Amino acid sequence: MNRNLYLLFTLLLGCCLHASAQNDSINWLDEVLLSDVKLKNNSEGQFVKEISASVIQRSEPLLTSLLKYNSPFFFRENGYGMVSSASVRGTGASQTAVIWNGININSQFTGQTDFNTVNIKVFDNISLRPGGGSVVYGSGAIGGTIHLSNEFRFDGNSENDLRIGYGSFDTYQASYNANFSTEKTSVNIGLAGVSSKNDYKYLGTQERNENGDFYNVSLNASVAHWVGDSNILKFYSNYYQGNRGFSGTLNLSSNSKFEDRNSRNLLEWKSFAGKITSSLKLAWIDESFKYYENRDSDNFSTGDAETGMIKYDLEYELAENKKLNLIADYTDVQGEGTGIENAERKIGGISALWSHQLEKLSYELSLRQEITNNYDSPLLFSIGSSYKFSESYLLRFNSSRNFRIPTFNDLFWLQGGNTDLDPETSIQAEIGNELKFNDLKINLTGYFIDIDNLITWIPDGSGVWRPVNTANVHNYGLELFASWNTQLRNNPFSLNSSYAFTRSIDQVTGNQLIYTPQHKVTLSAGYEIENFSILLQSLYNGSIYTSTDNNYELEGYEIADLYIGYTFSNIPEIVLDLRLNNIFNKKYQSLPSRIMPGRSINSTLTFKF
Amino acid sequence: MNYKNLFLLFFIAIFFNSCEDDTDCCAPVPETDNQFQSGIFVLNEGNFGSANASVSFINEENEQNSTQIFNKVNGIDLGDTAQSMRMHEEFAIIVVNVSNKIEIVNRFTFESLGTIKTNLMNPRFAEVIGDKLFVSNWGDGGNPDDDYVAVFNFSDFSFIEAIPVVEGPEKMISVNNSLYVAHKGGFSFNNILSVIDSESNTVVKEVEVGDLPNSMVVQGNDLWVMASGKPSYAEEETPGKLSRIDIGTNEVMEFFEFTDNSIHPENLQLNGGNAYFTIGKSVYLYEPGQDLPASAAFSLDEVAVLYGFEIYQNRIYVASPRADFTGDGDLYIYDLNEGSLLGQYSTGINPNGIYFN
Repeated sequence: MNRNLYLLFTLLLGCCLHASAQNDSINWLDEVLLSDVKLKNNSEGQFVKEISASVIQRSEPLLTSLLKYNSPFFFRENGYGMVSSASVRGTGASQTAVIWNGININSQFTGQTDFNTVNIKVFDNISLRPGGGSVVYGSGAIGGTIHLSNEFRFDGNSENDLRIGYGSFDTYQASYNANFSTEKTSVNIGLAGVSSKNDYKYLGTQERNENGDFYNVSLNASVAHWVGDSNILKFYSNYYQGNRGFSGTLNLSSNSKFEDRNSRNLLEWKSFAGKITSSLKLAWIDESFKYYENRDSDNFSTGDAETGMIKYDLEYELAENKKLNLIADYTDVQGEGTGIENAERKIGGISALWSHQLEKLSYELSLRQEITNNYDSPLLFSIGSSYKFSESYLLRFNSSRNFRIPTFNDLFWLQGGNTDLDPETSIQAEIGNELKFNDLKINLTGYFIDIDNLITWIPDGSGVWRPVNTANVHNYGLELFASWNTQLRNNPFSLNSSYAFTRSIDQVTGNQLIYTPQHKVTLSAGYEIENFSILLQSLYNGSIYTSTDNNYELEGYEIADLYIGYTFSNIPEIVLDLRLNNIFNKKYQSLPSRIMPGRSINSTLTFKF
Repeated sequence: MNYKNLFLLFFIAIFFNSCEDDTDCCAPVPETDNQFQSGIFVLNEGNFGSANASVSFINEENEQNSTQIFNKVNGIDLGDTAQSMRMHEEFAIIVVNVSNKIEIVNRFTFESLGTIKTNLMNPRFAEVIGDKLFVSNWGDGGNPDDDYVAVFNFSDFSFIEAIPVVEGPEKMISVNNSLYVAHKGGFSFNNILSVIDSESNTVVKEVEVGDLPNSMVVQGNDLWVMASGKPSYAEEETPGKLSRIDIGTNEVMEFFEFTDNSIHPENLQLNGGNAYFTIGKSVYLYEPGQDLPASAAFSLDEVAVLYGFEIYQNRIYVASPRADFTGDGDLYIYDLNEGSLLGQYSTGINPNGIYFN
């Protein structure tokens, strides 16, 4: 036993030595292959959960479906494919930032990302990082950040992946992904679409989900090319177009329609010169929507926001284990639309990130200050540290100040917009424990968040709804991620689970915030035998209050999905799969009167060549 | 162990049996027929889209506060977004906006007498003249050209006809055979008072009043119309305006305009010879025909949102939702002369109106 431990230790030590000897090129490798290097290098004291490629492959295409079964985050859905927002660690929809290849893509109008407008099939990597992150990722990174990334390879291989699927409620889905690379150039293309009539029956009633039809198309392209030996150019582009009827509720019929388009482009020039790595990023993002109250009429309201960003990041490696980043950036956002006038935001920012890795202790300090004419910006900071007690136990600590800036709607909405708003700010801290026993990995984190100046829309003296900085909220809770990957009769078997205990308390009333469950659990089990693979996913969402006096609540529910895949051939790889959603045909709703589908089925055929 | 369980089971069986016996022997006392004979009704509109409208009944004498009385008496939900209630003779007529229906109940028992579900689109307020029931309808909120006043036979609730009117018909008041309809403007703004002849069911006159007329009272031969003016988010904000209309000629005889564009008065009510209105949470006393008051009589500070306002027997009744319009609201009762708080009762979700038996 002791000898084994010793062997293990020397082996690992060897690995470490080996790693540090090649530190340069390994760091380089990350910088070259990853789009969001900061997620890997600047998450000290925080847990980053990477969702495995096989889970992404077996999931339904919209991001909500993936995350609700694979994270402790709670999702508020207006129906299948309809508007969906996340609540992470008890925070609101605009207090979670969605990061596309390192760039915050939350809407300028609403401050949030609609998780049903993201098709996961065009991304190579999806990671979750609960906890604060405004220093690196900007506004809204209070509850946590969700990272959608594309990665490069320079291995000279090419790979194609084609999927087509059909399922209940006339739901069609398709995607195509291709990767080509040489030693100098890497190209990555993804195209994905979903369309559904979405006219499912409301269980226990005579009603159907009316006017919930939708389709969306996502296109992603990324290209990287080496210029000489020490310069690389990378370009990422993502385009999304969606067209949805907004379904009615159990009590309210609807005839509305929503069309939205998002285009995101990022160009990066990276240069490596000894201990200095420099990165220049240019990004331009365009979001626009049209909302038809009556889809049969030509009247619509609209919004369009264009964001331009320039960012320079200079990294200096003082020693093998010490690194300093100095970052300067400038962002200009212009918005216009129905009910929005003169929406403009110019933000300059400077940041400094310091990281230091000792034998067992690593720590990181970072600061960011923004300057803008829209509001008073607080000094943001993050302090993170981890201590490796043993190979099986790591202790983490992180504390940060984060913010959520007022959105264009908050500031400029004609019917009540308030240009005097301050950003919401948070001071937060967390302690995490990472345990590893053979195949079992457990991450348990306790956190506390104090959010000030929470922006809420309430009627003013003359009855006009206006946003004001009012509430002070304390969130605290526990978050658990556990995974067990092992062999059962020589076949791969995995169990994954997450749990969140969440208290989110308004400091004036002492009540839990609405639409925030105290408990959420996910549990999934996967097994592969011969050509079959089976995945059972389940979740429990606890009850949520629907009124701030906590007199009314929506009951909790548990649902489960079953996936069965069969591989016909390996070269080329052909897989046929079947997915049974809501196998127990449970009537459930994550928002009042918004009934979700009962049992349904879909099937996809995948070719890899 | 087994015996113990058996004993427990036996014991439970006896216990349940005896319970049943209890209920058998002591059936609930039959409800008196007129359980709402005297007291205050609060109409709770509920949350838009959530179908949780309700009516509360409060009897101050015995501190009775009954919730959900429509649902309890009739065994069905009231519906989505109860807009207003009209008390007429022994009837209470409840207009349920989003559900596009009208529930007619006995005002003393709240037993349902009928439901109107047809020919209503975005119904707002109801008024009865003779044997006709008139209901103002916005139609499609975004369409300014489809607004109407629906006319029903009040004896059998059958539909008679729809009277097309200009945009945003809201509150109505009847004087003799004339129905006065204030047009607030639906999703946009309007400044018209329609006069409908209840015998011919036709609009006989459209009178221009202030922007967004919100309340009306009749005193002698005068109809007073309070208009709040356009709000701050309008292209041009306008001040409130009080108009006096001669009921004989239906002409505006005089008007009083507030000086500041940001003043938006509401809730014009009469008590004795005096008129009262509100600006925000402040109550103003006004002698009809005199200059507008410069300062408030008092302010109702306890109120979160002044959403429903009534003056009744020298008291002020305010229906106040919670500030964020979720959860249960409150009814506040004030002394009309001093503005002192006399009582407070919890209501249902988002109370918007107070009515009396």
